Amino acid sequence: MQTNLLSKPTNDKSSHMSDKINHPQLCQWLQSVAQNRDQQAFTHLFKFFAPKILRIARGKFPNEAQANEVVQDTMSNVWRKAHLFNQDKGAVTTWVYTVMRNITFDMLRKIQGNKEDNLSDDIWPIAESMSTESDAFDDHLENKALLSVIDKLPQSQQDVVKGFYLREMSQEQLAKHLNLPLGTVKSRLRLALGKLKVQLGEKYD
Amino acid sequence: MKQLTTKQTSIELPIFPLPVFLLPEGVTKLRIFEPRYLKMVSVASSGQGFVIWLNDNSIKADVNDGTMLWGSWVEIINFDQGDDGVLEIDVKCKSLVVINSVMKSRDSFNVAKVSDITHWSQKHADNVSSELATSLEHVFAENDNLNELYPKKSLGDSHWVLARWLEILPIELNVKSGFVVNYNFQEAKRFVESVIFD
Repeated sequence: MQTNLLSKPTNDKSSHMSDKINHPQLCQWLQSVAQNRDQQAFTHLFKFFAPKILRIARGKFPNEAQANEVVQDTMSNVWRKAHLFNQDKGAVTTWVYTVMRNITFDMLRKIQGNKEDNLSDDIWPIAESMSTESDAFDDHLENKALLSVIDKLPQSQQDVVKGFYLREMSQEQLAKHLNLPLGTVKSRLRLALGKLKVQLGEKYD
Repeated sequence: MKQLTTKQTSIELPIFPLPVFLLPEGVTKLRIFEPRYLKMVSVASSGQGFVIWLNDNSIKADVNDGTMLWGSWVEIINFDQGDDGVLEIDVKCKSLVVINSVMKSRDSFNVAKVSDITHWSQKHADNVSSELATSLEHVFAENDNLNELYPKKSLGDSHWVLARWLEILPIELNVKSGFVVNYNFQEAKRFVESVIFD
């Protein structure tokens, strides 16, 4: 099964699970992710695929963390590339496992290349360069799979996602909480920030 | 820096750069999957915790005057495993620290020499009820994720209430950083009130 998926990912018929899988449902979720950036649908996909991917990845990587990385990277790509899925060309399962296979190959290649060199500076930047590498660390926040793609979402969706996942309210949530129009909340924030800047100026002038 | 009193003790702790603003008593959930940070967590959990160094592009852009490097010294208060098998930890900030120097550890994560600093948010204020507290209570009630992180809420403590507001308000991290580096309790309070109450 594991080798099958990795070596012949396009051969959907070889999957023992195929008769139990609700393919139309998977397809609908993936399309909803592609078209509406639907987080709920993505969550369903995640719940369906993550354990399966993890099981397969464990067979390829002795290290649990690397297996988890395969899950994260695969699902992150599923979220990001959902629009590239073409229903006419195959099942969702085939597509996701292909994404996974590519991730796995990339990782295996990287490990081969890094065998003796795991601690080198280009992987782990030291203090001076840390601040330029912040992107690399964002993904430890809750629900990492989504975070890496947040920046590519339109602002309104970013706010929703950040508000939910980053333990910080979005402006929309704040507006709802205060029972005020969004515009009012935005201008209040702007004003309050402006006042802060003035105070800071007075302190150091 | 002007608002802060540095205590003399210097201590070595693992350091984890993250775009997370956390004041003393603040709690957040992290997902850990990279080998080096899994190692860090095991070191931190048997030791004295680790430091979250607030790290964000907006802050980088704002560094112009040898800005103080500060971080949140956290303890791991809960371990869990997500549906996907990834380690999830809840961490609670016990104090803020100044980062004096950073060096590489043998385990590939970094270790920093830090000194803890006093900040208004860790001094308990007298029991007072305020509109800010009431409003915050509603935020908790409406947000399960947040609510679960704080089984005990010190809603009568005006410092605790203000610190939680600063953590959850939708403002840039470099501004939030200012509430550690530049602004005192009164200024922070005025700021939050002007957003919440007009």
